[in-house]
Amino acid sequence: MTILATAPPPPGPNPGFESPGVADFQLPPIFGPVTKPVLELVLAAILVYWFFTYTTRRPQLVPSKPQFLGESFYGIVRNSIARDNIGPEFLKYVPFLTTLFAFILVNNLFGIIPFIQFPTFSHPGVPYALAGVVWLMYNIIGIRKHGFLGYLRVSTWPPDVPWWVRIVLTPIEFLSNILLRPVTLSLRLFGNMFAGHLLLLVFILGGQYMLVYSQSILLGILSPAAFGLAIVFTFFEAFVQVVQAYIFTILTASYIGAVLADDH
Amino acid sequence: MEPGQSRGGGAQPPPPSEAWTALSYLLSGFLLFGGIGWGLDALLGTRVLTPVGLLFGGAASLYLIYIRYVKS
Repeated sequence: MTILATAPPPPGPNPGFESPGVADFQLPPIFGPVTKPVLELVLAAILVYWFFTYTTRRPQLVPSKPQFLGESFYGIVRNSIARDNIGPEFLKYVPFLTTLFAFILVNNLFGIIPFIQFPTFSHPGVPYALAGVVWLMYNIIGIRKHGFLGYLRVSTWPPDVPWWVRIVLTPIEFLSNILLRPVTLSLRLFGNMFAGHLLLLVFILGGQYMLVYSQSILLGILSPAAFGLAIVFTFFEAFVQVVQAYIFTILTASYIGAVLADDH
Repeated sequence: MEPGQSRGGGAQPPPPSEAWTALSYLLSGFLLFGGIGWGLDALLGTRVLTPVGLLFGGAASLYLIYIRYVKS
C-alpha cells in the first residue's frame, strides 16, 4: 500500500474509476427506435424457430444428430418440467413451455456470447412482458377449467381451516397467487440478468482501468487478476443463465399445474 | 423411481418448483399486513403498528405455507 500512497499524482486528467451502473444498460438506438436488445429479441425468435424447424424437418425413427438434439430438448421440458408439475393434462402445454424455455435460454446466453454480450432480460420491461403472457395464460386456463368463482376458490381458499383463519389467509393467497406471481417471476429473471451483467462489467471495466487509465504500475501488474476473475464469472454467468431460464419455465408449469388441480 | 413420473403417485417428493412458489407467499404476507400496519400508523399517528403488521404477516405466511405444502 505504501507504493500507492507515495506514488506521484498522475500527469494529466485522471478522474478515477467510475463504476459501471444503470447508465451502461441504456444503449443508444441503432436506427430509429430500435436498440440492441430489440434486435436480440428478434434474433432469438428467429434462432428458436430455425432450431426447431431444422431439427424436426425430416423426422426419422433412428434420429440424426440434429433431430436428437431437438428431441432431447423437447424431452427435458416434457419430462422434467411439464409432467412433474402440471399433472395428467401436461401434454397440451409442452410446446408453449419448450418455446418459452428455448427463447429465454437464448436471450440469456446472449449475455456472454462474444460480440453480442448483452442479456436482453436485464431490461426489466422484457421479463415484465413475458411474465404478463404467463399471467394471462394461467388465469385464463384456471377460469376455463373451474369458472370464475371456482377458480378464485381454488387459488385463494385454503382447505380445512376455520373461517377466522381464512379472513387472514385468503387476502394473502389472493395477493400472492393473482397479483404477485408475475412480479416475482419477472423480477427474479431481471435481477439475475442485471446483476450478472453488472458483475462482468465491474471486472472487465475495472481491469481495463487498472491496465490503461490508472497510470499506476502496481495496478497494471494486478490487472490480469481482474480479467481472470471476469473469465471465471463468465462461466458462472453461463450457469446462472441456464438455471434462470429453467426456473422461469418450471414456475410457469407449476402455476399452470396449480390452477388445473382440483384441490390443493 | 423412473425419472419424470407424474404427480400424485403416493409418497413422492414434491416437485422442486414448490420451494420457489413459497417465496411469493412469504412476500405477500409481509407486504399485505406490513402495508396495513403502515397505513394505520400513518392514519393514527402511531409507530408501532408497522412492525406488528410485519410480524403478523410473516407468521400468517408461514402458516399458509404449512397448510399448502406440508399438511396437504
